[in-house]
Amino acid sequence: MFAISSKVGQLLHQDHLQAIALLQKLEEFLVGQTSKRPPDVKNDPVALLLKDVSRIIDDEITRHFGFEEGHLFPALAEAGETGMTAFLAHEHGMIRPVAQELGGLAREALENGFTPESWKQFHSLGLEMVEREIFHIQKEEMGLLAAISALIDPMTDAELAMKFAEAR
Amino acid sequence: MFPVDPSQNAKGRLLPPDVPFRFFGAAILFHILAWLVLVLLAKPSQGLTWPVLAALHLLTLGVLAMVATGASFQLLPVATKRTVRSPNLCRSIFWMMTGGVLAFALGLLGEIHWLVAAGGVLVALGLVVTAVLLADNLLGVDDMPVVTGHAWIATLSLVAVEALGGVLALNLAFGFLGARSPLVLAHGLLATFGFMGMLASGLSTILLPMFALSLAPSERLGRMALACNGTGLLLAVAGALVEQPYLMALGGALGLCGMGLLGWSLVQAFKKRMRKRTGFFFLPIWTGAALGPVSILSGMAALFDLFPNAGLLFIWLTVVGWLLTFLLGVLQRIMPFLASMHSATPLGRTPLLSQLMAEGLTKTHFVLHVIALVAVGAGLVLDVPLLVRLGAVSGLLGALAFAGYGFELYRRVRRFKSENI
Repeated sequence: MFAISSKVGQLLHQDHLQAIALLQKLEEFLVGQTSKRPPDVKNDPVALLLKDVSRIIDDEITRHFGFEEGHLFPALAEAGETGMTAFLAHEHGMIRPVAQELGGLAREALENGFTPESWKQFHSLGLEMVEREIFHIQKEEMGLLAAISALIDPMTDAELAMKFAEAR
Repeated sequence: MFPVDPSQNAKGRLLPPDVPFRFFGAAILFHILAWLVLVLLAKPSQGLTWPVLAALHLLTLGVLAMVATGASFQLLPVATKRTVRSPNLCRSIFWMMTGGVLAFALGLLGEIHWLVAAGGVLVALGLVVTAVLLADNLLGVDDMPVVTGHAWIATLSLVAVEALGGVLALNLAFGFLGARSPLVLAHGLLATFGFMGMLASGLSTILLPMFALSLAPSERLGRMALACNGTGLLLAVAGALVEQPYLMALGGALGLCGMGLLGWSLVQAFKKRMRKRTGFFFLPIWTGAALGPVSILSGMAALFDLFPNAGLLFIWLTVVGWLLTFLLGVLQRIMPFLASMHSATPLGRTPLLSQLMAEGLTKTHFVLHVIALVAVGAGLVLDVPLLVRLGAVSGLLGALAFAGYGFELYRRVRRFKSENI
């Protein structure tokens, strides 16, 4: 990963750090719990994790992806970078339904608990989400942040950073 | 959701998949051939015989250079943010190198000198065009000095390696050189520590942080490592050419410092990584990186005849212990990484990395590879041919396991695509 020189790059990186911290917590929990043992959602750490999953995943979808697709990718396209942004937007399209379904299952479980079937589904979707999102972040940290530093001028960078901060 | 237009990939920094994968596929096959030659034909107790030289070049040119070329065409543009100028030129380099390596190895095995010369010239041509493409990609790039600095030294070393290698290959056919040992040693040092080592060092500062999701390693330490590595290489090669062991030892000491500084900065970055659960592939990567300094130490021992067969051990540890172990670790990660990025179906789905990687086979490969490394190394030092042969059998089985990993990756990608049309 590169040293991050742009303001908007630093903000995106902060978001990535937060997402990775949650995804790793989720991964550890899912691996430890296995798909056969539904957890007790009345247990405080489990409830907290489920709340985080629904909140941060919703946040990631509506704000982070939305900002990138609505503001950042067009700015990069204007600077001539279209191949990478098309690829990343395409990945957003794959992650979004997984994240939304996972968030929905987490909210449902917080209200009614898990059944063996819903837990199995949550377990499988959760692991898929962890892998897809971390792989996606890897590419953004590697390619996108470097492209921002190289292609976005300081004024556009400041404008984008302001838009991103407002959406937070 | 919308499908990805593959033409955008070609215009972007992601090369068409056949470009890197043809190099990786060839490397996997040459890996098997190299061990097979060692098992069936090599008589290591007689030193660098023709079959041993054939196996050595199947590894250095067929595996190491092939992986380095394919990987650098795909990975260097990520660092330089510039596209490789011509995928077709990359494809033609592949054919020159593949044909050249085969001719070179067959020539050595059959002691057909003109075939060795022809193969050497063909490989040299391929690698010189590689050097031109890499230089073209590096020109005008002023950020990421640690990566580009190492890549520049690698590129220049490659030109020197090919010049010396061409002379040595032609000498086999026409016999015009008097003493060729200094040239052979300089050629070996430039090929392993110059081209391969510098490329591995430079690219590791991008790849390892990317795999572990960590910040970039310290640029200050990286610059110091670059200075040590570059100066060390220069002194070692000069020492080899003028036959001055103390000059070579000084070069080796600087190389040790360079490796130490770069390794330290990578370990520090790795400790602060965001991704805590890293895959199995990091084990061969760290093992290979740790064996780099050991290979230099054994080279120094060989300079002053500290123990019998230290020279053979130096070659073994450099080519197989350090470079091959490291590069196969990198390869087992970048192959599924690239395959996944190229596997988007028209419906917009891509496979998960865990669906593509048959990790059991890479674990099997690593165990067999380490057994081979230790057994052959011990066999060379203790002069026990049976140990060398048993180690080579283990290496061959490991190479087959690695090929199984590559084949399984291909099969899983095909299956994913057919199930998601």
